[in-house]
Amino acid sequence: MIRATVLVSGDPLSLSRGAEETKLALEAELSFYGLEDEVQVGYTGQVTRTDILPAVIVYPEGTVYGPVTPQDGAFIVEEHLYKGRVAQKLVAPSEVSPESVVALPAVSDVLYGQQRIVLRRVGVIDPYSIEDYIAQDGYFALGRALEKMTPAEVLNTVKSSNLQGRGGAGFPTGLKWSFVATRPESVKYIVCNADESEPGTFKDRHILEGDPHAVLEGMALAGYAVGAHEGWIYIRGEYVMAKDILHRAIQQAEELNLLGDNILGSGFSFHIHLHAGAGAYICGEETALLESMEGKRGVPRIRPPYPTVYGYHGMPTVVNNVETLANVAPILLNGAEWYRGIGTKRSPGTKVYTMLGDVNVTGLIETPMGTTLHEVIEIYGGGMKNGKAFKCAQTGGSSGTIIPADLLDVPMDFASMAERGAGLGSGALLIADEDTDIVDLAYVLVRFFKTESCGKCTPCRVGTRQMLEALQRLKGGYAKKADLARLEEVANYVRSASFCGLGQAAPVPILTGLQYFREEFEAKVGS
Amino acid sequence: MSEVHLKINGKDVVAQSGQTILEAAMTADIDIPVLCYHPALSTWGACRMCLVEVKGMRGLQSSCTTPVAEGMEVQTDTPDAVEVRKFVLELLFSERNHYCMFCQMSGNCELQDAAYRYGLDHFTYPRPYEKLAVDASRKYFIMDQNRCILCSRCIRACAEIAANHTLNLRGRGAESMVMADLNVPFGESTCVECGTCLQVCPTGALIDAHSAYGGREKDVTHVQTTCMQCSVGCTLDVVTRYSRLLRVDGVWDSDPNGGLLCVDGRFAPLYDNRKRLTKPLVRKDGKLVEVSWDEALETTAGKLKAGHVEGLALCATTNEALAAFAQLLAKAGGKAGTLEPVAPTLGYGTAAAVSDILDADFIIVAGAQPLDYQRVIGYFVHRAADKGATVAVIGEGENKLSERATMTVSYADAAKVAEAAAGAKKVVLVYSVGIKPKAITALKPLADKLFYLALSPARNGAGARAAGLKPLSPNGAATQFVLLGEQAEDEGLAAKLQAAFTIVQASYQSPLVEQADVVLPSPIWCEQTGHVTNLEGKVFPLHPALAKPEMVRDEAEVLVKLAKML
Amino acid sequence: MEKGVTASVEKFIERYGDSPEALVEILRDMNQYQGYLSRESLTAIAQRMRLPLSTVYSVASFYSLISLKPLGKHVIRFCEDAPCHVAGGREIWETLEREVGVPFGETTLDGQWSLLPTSCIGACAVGPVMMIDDDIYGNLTTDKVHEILARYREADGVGGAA
Repeated sequence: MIRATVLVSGDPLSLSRGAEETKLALEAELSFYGLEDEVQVGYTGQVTRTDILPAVIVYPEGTVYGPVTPQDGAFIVEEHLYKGRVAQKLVAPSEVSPESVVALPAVSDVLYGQQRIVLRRVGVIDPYSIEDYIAQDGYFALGRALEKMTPAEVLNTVKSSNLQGRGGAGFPTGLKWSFVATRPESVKYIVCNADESEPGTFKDRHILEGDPHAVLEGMALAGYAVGAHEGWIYIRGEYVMAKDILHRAIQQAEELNLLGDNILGSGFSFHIHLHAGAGAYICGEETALLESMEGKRGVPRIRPPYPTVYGYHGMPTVVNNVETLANVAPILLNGAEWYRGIGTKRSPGTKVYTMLGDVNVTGLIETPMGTTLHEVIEIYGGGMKNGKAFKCAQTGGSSGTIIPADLLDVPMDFASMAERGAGLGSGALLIADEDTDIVDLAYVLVRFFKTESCGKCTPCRVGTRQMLEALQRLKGGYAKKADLARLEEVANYVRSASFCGLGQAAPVPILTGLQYFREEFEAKVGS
Repeated sequence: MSEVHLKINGKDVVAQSGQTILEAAMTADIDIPVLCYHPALSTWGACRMCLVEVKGMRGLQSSCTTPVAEGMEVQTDTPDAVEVRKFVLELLFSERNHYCMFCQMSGNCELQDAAYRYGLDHFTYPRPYEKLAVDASRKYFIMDQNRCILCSRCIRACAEIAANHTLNLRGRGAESMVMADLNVPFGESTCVECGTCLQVCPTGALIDAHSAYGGREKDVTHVQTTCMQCSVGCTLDVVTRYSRLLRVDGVWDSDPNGGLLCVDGRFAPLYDNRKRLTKPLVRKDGKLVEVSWDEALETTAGKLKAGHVEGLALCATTNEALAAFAQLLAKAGGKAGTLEPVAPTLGYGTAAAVSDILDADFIIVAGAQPLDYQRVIGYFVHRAADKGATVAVIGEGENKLSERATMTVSYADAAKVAEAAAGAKKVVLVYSVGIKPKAITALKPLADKLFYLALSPARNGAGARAAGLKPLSPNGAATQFVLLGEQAEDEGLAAKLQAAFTIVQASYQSPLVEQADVVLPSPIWCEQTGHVTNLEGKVFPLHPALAKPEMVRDEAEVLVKLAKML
Repeated sequence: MEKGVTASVEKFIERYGDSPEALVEILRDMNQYQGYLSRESLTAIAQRMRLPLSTVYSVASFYSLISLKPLGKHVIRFCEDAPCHVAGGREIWETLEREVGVPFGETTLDGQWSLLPTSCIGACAVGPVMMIDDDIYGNLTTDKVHEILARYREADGVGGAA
């Protein structure tokens, strides 16, 4: 009989600070008191406040301790779990108010209406335990679909939920699936794009590290809907822990016949494999990802044909982002109508953001589509740091747009943002205050693209180089007026002539920077 | 395939479904500029020169990758498209060193042509390039990275046409660079010097050492002829200027090789520095002295009339010469034959075309070394292997093809190959004189689906066969020999013929020529007229790219004349 | 061919198979195992997987987690993408170059340190961030960098600042 769960933060930073030793100490002390059968200990990757790492969270109370040394761990076992009283002196410092440990589940109910679909189990369950997942409705949607629904019904539910791809482009997921479902080929693939590489984005990592089965279940449902029997997760090479967790999760699901051959006796088989990358931002582009999966340079393919027609090994392939797939099981569990009731009409559901920059609280949040940037900053970000004024935000990682103050109140969903020439992208929200130098920001962003350009097409390969040089001259104060004109010209051409999304996005920071803060660029000319 | 109707620049164009806009435009004689596109290579879509506007599609589309669709309306030269092309060119000119006036390829460069077309008259962008090393480690051609525009044509040619995979890109982004193998100097790489990369390079990045600065495209003459270096009979485009051989190119879409050449066909003949025979010679007082053609022919005819004649041909000449040779010997009452051995006949299967190799799913190479002697065949086998065909090598000793073969077995195990090929749809057997009878027997079960290609060592063995010539060993009884062939360098043969009176028809000095009694100079490969029959049995024409030296006469003409004198 | 190289190639082939699509993963793991990919390793992988040498080199040189030259005993990877830049990354970048004594992309002559740029490591909430070997250090300041590097030097028994 388990009466309590203890989770130790297991992210790389915590591990570097001795989380493993803390966990060992907890386990040793539990067995000293003979509590090892009553209290289970696991890792969680979800504590975003670094000043309290390694952190220990004790459920069901949801008490947060941190930072916790091995000695502290022993003390917590003795006080909290053996004697039954909170070890006050080790509770995370008072400034760690619920709203600043945004990803901690114990306080999610009071988190100003954060509505959680994707993150609802993250930090609550032990990601190494499939039982934890199952105990919270896990694999229920898959089981029910296999038993009671036809593939077409699953597909139609996702279609009518209006779920849109969370990788950045917001393409309707059901429509993408239907392209593959109608293909005559007998071999099809589901690929989960977990090559999360947009700077400032780590939502997918948190989902994979905190609730891996949600993604696996989503993939299996996608496979059932389109008639695929093989799934691949392309995970970023740097995400070692997430890879490890996924590896275990797949094993566990196979052991329980929730994946593998003839799932739950339904006759439907679905296998999931892992493929880790080796460091290349461009592999987040779906055709480059497929090339990389085939063991090649991650260079984008010519489109058409699109992956839904000619994907992995030339077969019809669904490529979906982690967050997209994590939405699938909840949709099937609660119905399309429920899902459409969340968020906005045109973009239902929630969106997971990583909030960074000059706000008081940084970290991961999940809010309904349509929440404004203003609300996000004030409510979840705790306002601007040091009382400074908001200057701009950059949404969606490097490839995102620069958003000025007058767009603060635009509801953030795919359609509304697109109407204003902005994008949600990967969900990174980089908030910059009045001290920010826009030219400098553009320089850093373009430098990123120059490094990550695959080099295939002329505009991106040479254009990023030319843009960076021009920005450098501008920054250095020795650019002429003509240089600025040329920078804008190059940026426009690179946007229109590049082969793939990377090149088309590379000049966006310059173009949107010029659109909203032209005077700052001009002020640097010839100074 | 069905017809698709579209409009390009207002003109009605009928294309085939599956074609790209660029292909459709080309068939309709509408010019869209390209740099990375090459008709003999897969599509890459990277240079962005061929961007066009398509009604109803957002932004510009690359015409080389966009498939045609019914009712499509394309505009190739809208202001936007033209501006973007200029921009692309300006970027390319800023990336590396493209000072045309110092470049060998000036006047014969696709980048330069495009720049003229779009009126680029100055460098728009700052040129951040660093000086890059020039790699001259290969004998026949030079790689100058400073002129490279990273179009990857050379890489695709190396992989798709030569199937050699020596070239690839290293690094990424602005650091990208064409390199060989593990980034080694080209001369130390696995390069087989087929020169295909050189032929597809649009700029002066890959330069032919022999023809550099030899003449611009507008000054040179092209003559299409057939390669005489082996029995494949590749089609050649011989480029000359003022009676000087500049270079040899392959001809895309030509039979049998589709533009692919080998080092022996493309480069080696240009570097042939053997001493040429240009005058008829007759031995007098123990010395070969120059004589008139009349004297040389009379001396020859006189000797032939005396009987006891044998004729030995090295089959490196035209069908016409071989036939005349056989007739001459018949008239002189002597035996005539060829010096080269002939591959045995199988007694089953269907004769293959070279292109059959590419459609086969199982290829057997038995007793043949195509990578050494008929290289283009070897490259075709590599290409088939790249496409997934199984390659099995049967034979004793080393075979370079084994490296990429699925299995290599000895003759004793030939039956294993037949077993492995049992499930194949189309089998091509490439064999030569080395094949053993037991292998022929072992492969017989495959007869129904087997296509064979016999690689005889003789360059025009098929022509000799047609003339009724068979392999012949010199018979000690004959006292007069007529020898036909420019490469009779066999010292063993020279020793055997030491005592006899020998008449040699050849183009180059050799040991046999030195001990001959009469020497009749003949034209070399690029001077010959007539026909050859290749290993498929197809007849290809020879057209002279250069004029013969004044005193050199066509072999067939000389042989016919001699026959008349008998 | 050195026996060790062949054996480790075999180990990774066993894990990922020998079909061409395993190349990226084998190169990455082999790199991690050996610190970098030597010519010998690349040749062994090419031969074992029956791939052209140029393919193996080309793929290896494309990915940033794979190094084709030997790295120092400790590898510092520093992220200078926008989120960390906004948080003061530029200063840390300069501090690191000064402290380590080589520009980014280089390895110190004594082979102790390699200083490499990296793209986002997903720890932006605590930027600026660097990784030394497998450990992540966040909220960096000039003093903190100095302190952290000193700790490594002390552990290695290498005295003084560079």
